[in-house]
Amino acid sequence: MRIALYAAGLAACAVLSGCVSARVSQFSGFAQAGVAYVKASQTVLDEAGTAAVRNDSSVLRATRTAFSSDERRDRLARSNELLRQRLVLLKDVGRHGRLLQGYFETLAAMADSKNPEPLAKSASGVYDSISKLGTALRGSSIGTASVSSFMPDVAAPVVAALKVRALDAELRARSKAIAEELGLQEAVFKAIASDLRTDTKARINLEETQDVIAPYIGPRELPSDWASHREQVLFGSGALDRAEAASGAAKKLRECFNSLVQNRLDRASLSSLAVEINALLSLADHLQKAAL
Amino acid sequence: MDAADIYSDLLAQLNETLLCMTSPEWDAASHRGSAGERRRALRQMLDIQQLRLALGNAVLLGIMEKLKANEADLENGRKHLREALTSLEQFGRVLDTIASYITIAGRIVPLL
Repeated sequence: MRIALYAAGLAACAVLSGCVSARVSQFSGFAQAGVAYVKASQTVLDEAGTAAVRNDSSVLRATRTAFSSDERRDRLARSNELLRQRLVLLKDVGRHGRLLQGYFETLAAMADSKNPEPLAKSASGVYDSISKLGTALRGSSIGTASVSSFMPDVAAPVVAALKVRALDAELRARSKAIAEELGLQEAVFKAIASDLRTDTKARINLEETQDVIAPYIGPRELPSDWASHREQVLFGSGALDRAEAASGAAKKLRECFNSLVQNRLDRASLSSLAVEINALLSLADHLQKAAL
Repeated sequence: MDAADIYSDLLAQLNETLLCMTSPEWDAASHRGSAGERRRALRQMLDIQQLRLALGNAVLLGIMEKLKANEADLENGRKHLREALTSLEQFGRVLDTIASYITIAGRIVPLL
């Protein structure tokens, strides 16, 4: 998947240099990058959900003997309720990303259309949905800090004039708001990265204690899978250093959107976006390996 | 501090505490303690985990007033907890400090 997405990024760059209409190609290249970003970020969202559930299960398992049967029932129910809420929140982040992808695809279609007016209406509708969901996400926290505390300062991009009037009007009306929604993705992924780090590290800690240290210091013979557990614990920690990749791709996407609006999006910008998206996929790969 | 900062500090402290309580060093300290302390430590570990989940899901606006009202206690509790977690030698006292912090954090979001 990583190779395929990287190739998609490069294809977008090639489109940019094809120059039948450089401006139309910019919108199309950016829309393709948006699709790749959403696919990659969804993988990380899935892993974040899995990491939260796995860590909670590890803590419940480790602490089970300290609670009575009635207490266990209540505690398990509470954990399930909290995790369900968390998964809904992560789902909303994914939906917010997919709506942004739809918006960028609509812009690309407008840039290449002889009748862009109906598409302008559609872009406006998609924006309304993005904004509504974005408002809810801004007030949420997802782990370590409130999303709003991670929000970057977003300046209004200067819109370079476009021949397609409807597209020009759309960007003048909403480019700052869209840049802010991309800033929201960046902030959300920073919060998710921080939470993911704690969930993964805590689970690995517990596995080290229960599956590596306890059997080794105990009197019984070591289980046959002891060495593989140990490997898993030691290699699993590698994913933690990469957690920041989650917000890096969102930041780069926002920078590319600003360049697109200002008619400055070039091959180099899209290439560096492809690199960030690959880092995002690499993080997901590592998290999957850590969770085996 | 504004409510968002108090919130971030509280969540960061809960995360840090969970990581400490799941560490091999904590496990070793817990095995040096009494059976009662071990049981208490396990119960507190689940308290911390559920508090961090509950706070992580909370909408800032909904708990802003409680955060401001408990700002001094949270800050004090955090300071004591950070100090306590640096050395696990007196395990019972570390557990007392965690218990106080859980009580304060439980004023922001209920445990059960």
